[in-house]
Amino acid sequence: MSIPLVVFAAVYFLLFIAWMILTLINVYHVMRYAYWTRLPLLIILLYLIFSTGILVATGWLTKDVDWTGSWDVSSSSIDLQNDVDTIRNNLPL
Amino acid sequence: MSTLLPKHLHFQGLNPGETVQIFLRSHPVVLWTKLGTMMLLGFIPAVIWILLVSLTEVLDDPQSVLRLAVILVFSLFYLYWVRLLFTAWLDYYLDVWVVTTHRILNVVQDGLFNRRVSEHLLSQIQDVTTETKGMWQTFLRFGNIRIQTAAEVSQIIFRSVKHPELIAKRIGELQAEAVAREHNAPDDVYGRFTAPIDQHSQSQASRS
Repeated sequence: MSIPLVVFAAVYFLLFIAWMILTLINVYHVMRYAYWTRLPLLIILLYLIFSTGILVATGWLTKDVDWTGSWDVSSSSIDLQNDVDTIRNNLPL
Repeated sequence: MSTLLPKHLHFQGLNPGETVQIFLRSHPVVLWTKLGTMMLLGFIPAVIWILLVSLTEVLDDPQSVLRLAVILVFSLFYLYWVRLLFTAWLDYYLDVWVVTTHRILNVVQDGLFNRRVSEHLLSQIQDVTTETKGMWQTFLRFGNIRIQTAAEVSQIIFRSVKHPELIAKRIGELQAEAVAREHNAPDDVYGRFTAPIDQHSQSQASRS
């Protein structure tokens, strides 16, 4: 069985946008108590800027990924045991 | 010590003749401590990433599914982390204590949707205690004020407020004024009935 990499992107993007919208709705309701003064509005703006920044940074870090590829689960292209061993052998412990 | 209601805030629900005497939030050091802890938490994925890149080759291949998964999970972590920072600020900003000439309002925001507002008459206050615990509270002059009342919720705590002794003294003065006012006009709980009752009693007296 193989999973197209674009599924990763879709799941990530849906989670990201859903979480962001949910937070903004929550914030909108809670900010009533702060009477919509300038500081809460600034904080909401900062939240939007940071979230967009995270999205952009993620896009930049994954710019070389070939999204048409897929992950072959059955042959397990990720050798986790090998990776863990590599990390353990290289850690300066 | 800024205890009056800031000009940009509007406190709704004041009764006629009632004015805000003290408006308090926790000391900013409480917020900065929380934010500092969360900032440290925010470094964890970055440190893991740096360790993985510098000590192993698992993240070198841009086509590696593991690399992609790590990036996406860390990205979601940072989105959640930003919200944690925001919630920490919100808890600080929306936890307020207001003392008016007639009552004490205790507003506690816990997370995004839990909010508790309790109100106590100043005349019901029985005891005001201040607590300054530890080195930081002593040096930075903040602490807790415990107010014992005769109401159903018998204790109000102003947590980590600046200059607790001065505020406790002022609350004592306001309480004495409230008790004196109540003794003078027993029905004048909120100060709203004084004028109509006086007019009514005057009109009754003039009729008789």
